[in-house]
Amino acid sequence: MNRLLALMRKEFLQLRRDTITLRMMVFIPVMQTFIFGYAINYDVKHLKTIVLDEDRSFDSRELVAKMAASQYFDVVGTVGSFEELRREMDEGRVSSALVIDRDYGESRRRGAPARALLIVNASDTTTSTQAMSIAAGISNQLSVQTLARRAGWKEAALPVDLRVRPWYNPDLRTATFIIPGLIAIILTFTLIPFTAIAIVRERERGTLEQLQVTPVTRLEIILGKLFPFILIGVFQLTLIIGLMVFLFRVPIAGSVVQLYVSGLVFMAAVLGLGMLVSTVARTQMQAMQLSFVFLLPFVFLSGYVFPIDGMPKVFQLITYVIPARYFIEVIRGIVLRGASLPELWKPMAWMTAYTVLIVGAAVLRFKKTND
Amino acid sequence: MIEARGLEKRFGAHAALRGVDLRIAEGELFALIGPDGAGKTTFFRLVAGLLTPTAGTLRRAEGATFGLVPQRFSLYEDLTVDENLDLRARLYSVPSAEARARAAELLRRVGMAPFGARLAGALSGGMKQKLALVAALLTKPRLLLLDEPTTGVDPVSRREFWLVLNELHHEGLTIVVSTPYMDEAEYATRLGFLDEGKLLAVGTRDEVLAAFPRPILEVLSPDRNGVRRRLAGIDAVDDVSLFGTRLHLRGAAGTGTEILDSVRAGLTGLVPADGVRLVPPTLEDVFVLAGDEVET
Repeated sequence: MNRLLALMRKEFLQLRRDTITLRMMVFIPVMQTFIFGYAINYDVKHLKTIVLDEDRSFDSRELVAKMAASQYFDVVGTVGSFEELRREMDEGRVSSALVIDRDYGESRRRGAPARALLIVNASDTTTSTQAMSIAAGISNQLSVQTLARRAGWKEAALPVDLRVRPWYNPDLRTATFIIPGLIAIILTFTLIPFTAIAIVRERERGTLEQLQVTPVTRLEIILGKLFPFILIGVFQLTLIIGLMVFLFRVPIAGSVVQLYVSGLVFMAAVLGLGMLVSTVARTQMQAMQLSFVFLLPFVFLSGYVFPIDGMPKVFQLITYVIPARYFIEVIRGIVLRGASLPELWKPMAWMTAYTVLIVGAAVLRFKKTND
Repeated sequence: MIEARGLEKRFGAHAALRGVDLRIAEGELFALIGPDGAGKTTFFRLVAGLLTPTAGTLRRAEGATFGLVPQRFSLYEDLTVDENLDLRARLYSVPSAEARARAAELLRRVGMAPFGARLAGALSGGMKQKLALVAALLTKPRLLLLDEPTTGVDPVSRREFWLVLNELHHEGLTIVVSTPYMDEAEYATRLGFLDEGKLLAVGTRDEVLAAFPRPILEVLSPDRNGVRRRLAGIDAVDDVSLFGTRLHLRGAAGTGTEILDSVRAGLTGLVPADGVRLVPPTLEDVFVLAGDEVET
């Protein structure tokens, strides 16, 4: 026990002098929270739009006004010809263009199909998908109005009224979705490389071998090395939760204690991965690069940015072996839905099982590194 | 203190030690000499228990605590001298008052008393090795293992280092030290020549030199290049090295007088007969021959 304390004391003494790492431990979570929290926005509004109105009637102006009122389209100008429109699109000045047919108004009055065309820059699929669905909504609304008028329908309510109620994120803010999951991502980004490098550095410099000559047990070496990183992880967790609640106004609906409990389990898994990396990598550079092997799947296959349901089957299967997947499920459950750990027992159980597996493998591999 | 029997260590296909038999008695100052890659470090790592033998046995005397000074400086460069020693003491559960007193005494002894608060990484090469020595001695070991402690250290620091080792030896500590420097090997009570994982010669300095199988000749001549060209034609000479105005020759085989005669004959007109003479071999000759025999 005294030996373990001596080792931990040593780690803190070293950490105190390593000001760059210390600053990175604060800077990385803050920077990532800001980037992910502010920059990522799936809710694409205010698409720059130009209009080619060949009809210039009351109805065509009504269509343009409806599009603008949706807030998804900002009408920034009008053009006189299709060539002009194409130039605006090609040169990237606008993301969508509305073309209204010459007899749009006339057709509406006559009862023939009134034609208009929305061109979107679909190189960005998120933007274009959203634009298309909004446009379809407007089109439906106008059609219903026309039909109702023609049929002499007087009642205010529509015959079918299917409404959507967005629970757990009523304002449909991307930040609400992104920030809780970010906890998993930041712990992964900092703890895997930091742990791996810290261990590889000791091996590279020969200090690990010097430790092995002393009466210190392997378990003491491992715990002495990992404990400071658990503290760092808890510190980062607190930092991100603070930013999430006070800056991004994403309140924690569930129990904060349970959030920390699940966080500690995930940290153990991540530290175990860091240790595993350290048993493979020979140099600090390799440790860094190997750590990055984990980062991409943790970000993209954990359901953090892309919903797992939308992935091809093969990738969905891969997500089952990514501990971050379960942790993100748990955090979102606690933060957004106010779920408790017993309710989240399934992902918790999976995450714990992986943690035991990873840490076990890391400790076993750590043993046979000398011969 | 240490007993190796048929000690073998392989790393994959590479055999670092190939059947080493060696006994080192209590109180010895034993020097292990050999070129790079001879297996010296592997031997130390085996004695320290960092590796397990592939074959054969290696026994350390019962209760023989040891301190290891590895070839590379292996203390924490981002901790101070005092912090490094304090950590070492705690890891060995040495009571802190005792540890502090002992560390102060050892630092004073190696002339490092004023450097307690300095970061280990900021020490000179010689001081780093002294610190490693202090750290190894802090826990009062009965056996001190030093793997090339003075490689790359300046000559003055090397002498200081050896003065301390000699003192420790006289105090009764068993010391095993490896070195590539022949002059250092002369301080040892016994030495062993290790090459390509084999112990080629073991004994006191005089025993090892007496067992050297080749005659060594010395030629005095200002025209060293002329002598070298002539010698190239003499088969009985298989190695020539230069020392200032002297040439150091190694006979290929045969007795000293036969070679003396053939060299004198080969150099007639260039060097007078009394400019060529037989000299006793040095440890350097033993070392060089060991290396050459492995190459061929």
